[in-house]
Amino acid sequence: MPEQADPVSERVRSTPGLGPIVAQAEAVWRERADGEPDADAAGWNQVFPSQFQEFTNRPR
Amino acid sequence: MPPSLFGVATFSGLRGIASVPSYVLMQPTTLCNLNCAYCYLPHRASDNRMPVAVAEAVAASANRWALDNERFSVVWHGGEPLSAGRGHLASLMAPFAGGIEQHVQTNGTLVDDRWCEFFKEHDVRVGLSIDGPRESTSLRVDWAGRPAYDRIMRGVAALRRHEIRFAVICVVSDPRPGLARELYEFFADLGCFWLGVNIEEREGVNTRDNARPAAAVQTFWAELAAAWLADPRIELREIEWALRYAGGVLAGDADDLLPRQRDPIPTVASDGRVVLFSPELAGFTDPRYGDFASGNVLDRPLHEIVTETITAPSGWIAEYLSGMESCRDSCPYFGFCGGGQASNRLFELGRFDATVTAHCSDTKIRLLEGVLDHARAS
Repeated sequence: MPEQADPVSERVRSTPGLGPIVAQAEAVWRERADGEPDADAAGWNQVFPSQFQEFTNRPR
Repeated sequence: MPPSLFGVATFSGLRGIASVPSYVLMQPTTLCNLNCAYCYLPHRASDNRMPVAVAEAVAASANRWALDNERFSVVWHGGEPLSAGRGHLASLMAPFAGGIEQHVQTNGTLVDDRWCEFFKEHDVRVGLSIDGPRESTSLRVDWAGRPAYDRIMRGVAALRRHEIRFAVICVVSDPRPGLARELYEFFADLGCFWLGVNIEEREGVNTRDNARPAAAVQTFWAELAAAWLADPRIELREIEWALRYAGGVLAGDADDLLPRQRDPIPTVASDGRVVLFSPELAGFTDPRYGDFASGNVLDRPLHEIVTETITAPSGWIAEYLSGMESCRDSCPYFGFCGGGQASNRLFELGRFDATVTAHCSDTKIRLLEGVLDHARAS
């Protein structure tokens, strides 16, 4: 964990309405993962089957 | 607005560089049959084809790396990779081991039944570049200035006819109100399974004015979040990552989301030169930094080039890594962003150890804030 809270995280935590839409997204990912051959191993990479989910915009 | 310099947490992700990449970008030719207004590539009018010897040299390392990775990919990028022709592309793909995923990122204009048969025969995963409906795609033109939209859509029709799954990369230049929903509806109906959205960047030979109001960009992302949540039938890179990060913050595990190490992302240019981290730097030279290449696969094995470069970083790479740590130390968005890209730093700010770029703002900061805006409004 980060050693101290940061202003972005604090603002995220205090954002009204965020919890329900995150829960909605997580339900989408679970449903998507259930369609994968190895659902038990479903994680971020499994629900995002593209290689291009890295934290870059490459390739375009 | 630049982030606050105060109260920044210590983020633990993306420390150091992985010794084994998860993919290699390959440039089978510098040529592109299009001349898009925002393209950053310097040599796209010339057909400098990659010799098979370059692919064989890359494959000698990639085939070893693939043994250490659950997934390993070769991404044929460009120029327009299909401009190399099926015969030559097949020869370039041939040296790679069977378990390696082959991808192309294509402008779609050359895709026809024969290319679709090629994709199936060679198990090629297809990424398409299109920016939305006709008006939104108007910056994608050929060398005579003619719009490419109809030709791209013929390519899409061929992919759909052959039931070939495809991903899409979309560039947004003017994020006006209402555009996000229009784009999302277009792409959801287009038949792609995955969408990545890039706000146009000022880099390479693209020197167009890319200044745009932060509020407009933030509203664009908020509207895109609303569109996806209302109908999440395709994967949407940016919005889903923002929601994944937000969920991590709420759950208290956001710091675990970024990969532990940075992928070196080797790009192999058509002549065999290797550029790490930013494909956009391939083909450029700079009075201070030279040609950005760490070596040439025709002279040394690719795995040696990568290992030596990351073991003892020097020149622009050392400066870039210093800049990454400056991002970590100063920017509260680092846990979401992972640090600014090398090419954006250079082309916007003239050096690699600078931090906040317009790309950071448009594509990371305003994205997260836009999703938060949507949450507040929902």
